[in-house]
Amino acid sequence: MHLGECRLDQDVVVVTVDLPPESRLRMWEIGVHAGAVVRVTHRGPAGGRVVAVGGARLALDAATATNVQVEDTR
Amino acid sequence: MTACHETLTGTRVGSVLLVGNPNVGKSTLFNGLTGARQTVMNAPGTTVELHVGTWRDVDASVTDLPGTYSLVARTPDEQVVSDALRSAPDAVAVVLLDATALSRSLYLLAQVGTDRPVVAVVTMLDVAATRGAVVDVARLADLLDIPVVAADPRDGDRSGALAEALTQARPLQGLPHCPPEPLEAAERLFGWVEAMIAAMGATAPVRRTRSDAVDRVLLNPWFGGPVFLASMWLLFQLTTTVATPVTGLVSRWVATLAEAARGVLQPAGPWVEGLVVDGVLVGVGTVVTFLPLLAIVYLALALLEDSGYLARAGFLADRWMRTLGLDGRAMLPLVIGFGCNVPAIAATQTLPSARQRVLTGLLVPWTTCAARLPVYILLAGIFFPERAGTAIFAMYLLSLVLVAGGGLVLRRTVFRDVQREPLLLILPAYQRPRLRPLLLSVWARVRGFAIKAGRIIVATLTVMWLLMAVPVDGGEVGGPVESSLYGAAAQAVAPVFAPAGFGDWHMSAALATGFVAKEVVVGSLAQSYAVQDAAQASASGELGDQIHATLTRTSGGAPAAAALALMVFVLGYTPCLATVSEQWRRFGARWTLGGIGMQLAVAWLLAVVVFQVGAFLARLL
Repeated sequence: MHLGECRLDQDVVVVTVDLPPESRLRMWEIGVHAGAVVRVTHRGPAGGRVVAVGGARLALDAATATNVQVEDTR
Repeated sequence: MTACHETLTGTRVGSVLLVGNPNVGKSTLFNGLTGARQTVMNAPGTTVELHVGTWRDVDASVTDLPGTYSLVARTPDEQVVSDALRSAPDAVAVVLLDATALSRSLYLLAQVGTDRPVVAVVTMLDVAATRGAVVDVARLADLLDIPVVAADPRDGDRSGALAEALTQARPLQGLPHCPPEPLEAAERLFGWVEAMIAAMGATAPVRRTRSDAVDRVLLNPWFGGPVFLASMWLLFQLTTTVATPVTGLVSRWVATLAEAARGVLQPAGPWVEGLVVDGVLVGVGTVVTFLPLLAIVYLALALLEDSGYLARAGFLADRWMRTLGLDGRAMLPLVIGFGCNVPAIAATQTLPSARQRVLTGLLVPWTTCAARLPVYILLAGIFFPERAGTAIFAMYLLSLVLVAGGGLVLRRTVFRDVQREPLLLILPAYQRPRLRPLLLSVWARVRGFAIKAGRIIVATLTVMWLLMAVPVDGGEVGGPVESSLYGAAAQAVAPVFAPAGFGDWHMSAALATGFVAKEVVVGSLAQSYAVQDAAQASASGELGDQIHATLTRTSGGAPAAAALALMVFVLGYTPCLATVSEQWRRFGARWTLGGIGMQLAVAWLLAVVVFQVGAFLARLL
């Protein structure tokens, strides 16, 4: 599943980030990379998502959220 | 302790460089260290703003660099950080670490501290605690083996502790060797970061916070939009309803001062009196009149930014602005532009990339500011008395079309390099803004405008006065406008507007005056038609009759089409000298002059099309 399909407040592990290399690097730099545990905290307008990465909150547009593949931590 | 060196600015600036992620508290720390002893400047060859100040306690200059997540630069702002660090290898870098996002901050620290002395300042400790992440600063200092100061720059003065730490600054040890490929290098550095985090035991489960609760409402798909629109409406009200009386008051003081000066200087003759009062003093008055408005808008922007709402506004508006290829935060300057273009140009500072700032800054002049409204009211009242409201509303609609169309065209031409990038926006925790740092930041920005934009305004207005004062027919100084060099130039330019139906010197003179300020267009028309009381100029009066007669003559019997074309031209061309000065200050001469050319060309073309189509339809009906 991808981030856009996650339930709110569900801890998930990032599996892949399917974005162009530059954007993938930026995702790395802000903490979204394979193995990172993240959690969708809010659904924004037009399918955007707010994701908790550690103590920080990261807003993603809908297209970007669908490009982050995740799986349940359990 | 701190090194002195030549930086990328080519001057003796910055032995201490402040580096950190966006919204980590760098600027607040900078204001705390330097107080009012700071200047705002552009990094050489760029439109990226740098704040440089003096930290008296340690006799060092401090440079507040733009926020960045990495030294692998992707934007001009990030390139400036990278270049600044490279050009000053001995400078101490004070790297701010966000306690709520320690991994991200340590990654940047690792990049910065590889080969230069560094000090770390941990901020947001209170916010991190509410999120269940406790950062042991002493343990972090042990692990990193560099000085680490626990400081929330928003609370109290921590400059003493930081000054002490600067004496112990040293490069980081034990970093992994990084290959040149950025993704591989990032992976290795994050391996080091994760080892540090694990050693600290700083990983914490995600916990719901007060900010999350507020975001439940403010980012809600149903409530978030209306709250965002309400905040934009409030901002617009600030630039109009709230600012107008203050601006009016200052304007009256300036006028009183000018009259007093006129009385004193009268014995010195018309040249001295005119040059000092109508040239220099009116120029200074124009600058001073803008200061309260700018201060109000700067304060509002600082409040939005410091409170944490600005990033949310960018997230909410992102979808709408994305269609124009702009960042969501571009909505803010464009909304302000409908009040006044000058603070709107200033508000482009809230955009994260320099190219986005220039692109938005070129679109702002097409937001129809309040100063253009009296021209619309006058012309619509004369030529469309039954449908004046509709004609004025059409101008606002056209303004939106120009902004949207201009954005799309620019994105496909000169701004092709501005990529549609994924939205990756860090949302800072909501915080109560602090008054002192806010006021210091407002003061620095208002002062920057007064000094830099003010010079351009005063110089241009003085030259304009000279053109209006110099008679071409051997008459007296300060005679009728049409007998002056300015009037002669207006007559020479008038034929350019013939295809748009208003090729008359009264109109071209008023439009030239409107380049200085749209507020004076109606007054200029009244002056050139020798209507005694410009304040009484109205659609139904003497001025209305004279304008109607002129446009009937110049349009070949289609005065309404010519009036509409004139309104469109007023909407489309350069808004005012103050806006131009602010663009010049922020974006440089090339973009400003290019923007003026683009606005004049588009305004003229649109006016010609509107007149030709309108005149054709008038003949048919």
